[in-house]
Amino acid sequence: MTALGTRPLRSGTRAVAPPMDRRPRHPHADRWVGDERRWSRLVLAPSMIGLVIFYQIAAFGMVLVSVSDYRGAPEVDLVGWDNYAFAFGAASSRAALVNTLRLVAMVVPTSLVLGFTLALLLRRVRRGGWFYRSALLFPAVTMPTAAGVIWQWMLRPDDGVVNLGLGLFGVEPHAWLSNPTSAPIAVAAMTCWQYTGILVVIFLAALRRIPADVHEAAVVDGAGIWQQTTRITLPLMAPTVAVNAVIMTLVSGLSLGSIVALTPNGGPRGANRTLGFEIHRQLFDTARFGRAAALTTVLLVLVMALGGSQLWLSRRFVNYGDDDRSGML
Amino acid sequence: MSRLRRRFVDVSTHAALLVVALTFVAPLLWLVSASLASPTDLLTNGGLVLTSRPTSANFHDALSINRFGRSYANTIGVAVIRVVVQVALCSIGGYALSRPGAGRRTAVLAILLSAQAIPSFAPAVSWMIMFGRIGLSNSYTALVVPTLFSAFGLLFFRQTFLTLPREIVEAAVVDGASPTRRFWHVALPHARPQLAVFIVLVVIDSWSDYLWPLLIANDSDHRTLSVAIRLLAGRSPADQLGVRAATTLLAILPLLVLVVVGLRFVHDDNHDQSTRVA
Repeated sequence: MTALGTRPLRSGTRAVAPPMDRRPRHPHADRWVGDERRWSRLVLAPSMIGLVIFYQIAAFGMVLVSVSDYRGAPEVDLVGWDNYAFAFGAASSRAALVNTLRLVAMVVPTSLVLGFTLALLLRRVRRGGWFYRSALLFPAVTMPTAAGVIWQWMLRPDDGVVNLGLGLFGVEPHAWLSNPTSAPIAVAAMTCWQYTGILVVIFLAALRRIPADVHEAAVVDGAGIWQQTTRITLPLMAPTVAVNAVIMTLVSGLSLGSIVALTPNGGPRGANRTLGFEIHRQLFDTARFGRAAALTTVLLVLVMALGGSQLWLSRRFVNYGDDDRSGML
Repeated sequence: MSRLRRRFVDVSTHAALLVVALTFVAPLLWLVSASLASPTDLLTNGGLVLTSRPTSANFHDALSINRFGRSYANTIGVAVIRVVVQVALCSIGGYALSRPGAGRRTAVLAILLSAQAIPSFAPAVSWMIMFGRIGLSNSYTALVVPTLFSAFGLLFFRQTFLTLPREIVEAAVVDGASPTRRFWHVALPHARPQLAVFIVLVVIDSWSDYLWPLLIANDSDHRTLSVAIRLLAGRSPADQLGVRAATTLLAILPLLVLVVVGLRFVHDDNHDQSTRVA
């Protein structure tokens, strides 16, 4: 188990060893030895063939579709950049990009701050942490479409519990999902509700990896809780927060099932139509595969750029323990 | 810190956490309440307050919906197949990748890393066309097959087996155990906790999957719960919310139970983590 304390932080220096093999050199490090050679190829073959067909070839195929007018019929013509002209030019696609960015801009800071604060609180808890973590994770394992329908029912204008509850305080009922301002806020609130619990668990695992003696030293030096948090915990956690900011950007930007269930037609004046929603609409409402594929390609490029930056961030700053995933639950 | 002050901090921490935790479960608590509410309660107070006795009628109605059981069975079936195949392929493949020498297999790593970088929404349109062409739209084969391969899973198990002390496997090599025996009897038993985590992650992923089941299995025979629940959206009369709430609750219940059980298990496993280095 690698941890902050056992491996020196590499900042600025490039790793000498190839990144996939950090172990000391082994006499046979260059090849699978003896009977392992054929065996390894045999057990890896199904996965490799499956991955190449269903990821690499399929992604390539999608790019091909994006320059064609494929609509399900066998006759297909190549149409060049037409679909991309649509993806970048059409008002609906631009609106979708803006809607996606707005959702990300609302969700990412809110969920990170909330998640971090809750993780700091949970770290102090000696008993009952299990209860809180379960409660916070329930929304995360509620499938997105179910989350969407639950929120839709709660936000019903006339008889939804949210309006009824606010009515007790004398607040006038509000049509949350048919107002172009409040509908995107409802989506953002729902998305924060879904994913903050996961952030709490990840942050909690990272907090626990900060060696206790760092804090003890600070206490000896007379640092209070506030100073410990801002001077020690926050700087040490900054890389984890940065990586999770990128992950949350991806997750919230790509959420589809919850939005489709919350506002099946994309909300008032299409305010909730994100890029994912727009792809979904091109596939189902108009069966224009070419346009959907062009939009998907654009989204894929954005995602891979973000994913690359995340990889860079984590390689450069974060030292994931080997049991990182087990810390998630 | 004085004892009193520490106690005050502890109590206020719990209070704050309790408030937030309750806010987080509030929508689910409402769902439970609405699923038990009578039509009158749904019409008058949104199902939030039960003025009459809780009724199980909504659950009876939900279960008698023709296709609900079918969707449920489909979802469970898909999850089981995905877990079994992914665990088999990824654990043994990850073990092979963790053996010395695998680090230099650049072609293999290029495939893994690029596949991992492609989010599953991207190839879905291609998958739909692929399976449509060979006449397998609306089939279990198409629903399951593309989801059986996981670059994440292979890398996850590779990482897991890399942490095994090398001597353990080397000793089995000296003893003349075949690669399969070394994997099955030596390596895999050491990876039980990670195996459990992986299974949970695959189940959650499979249960929540939306886009691919929607694209390929949209008819009532092959629908999964995720797609079926989405059809409950839309304007519905208030007195029907009870049945719909019951349906939704039944659909999400297995994963809620999974989280509680899983957290309990893991929590007991590494109690008082803060004193350990890792």
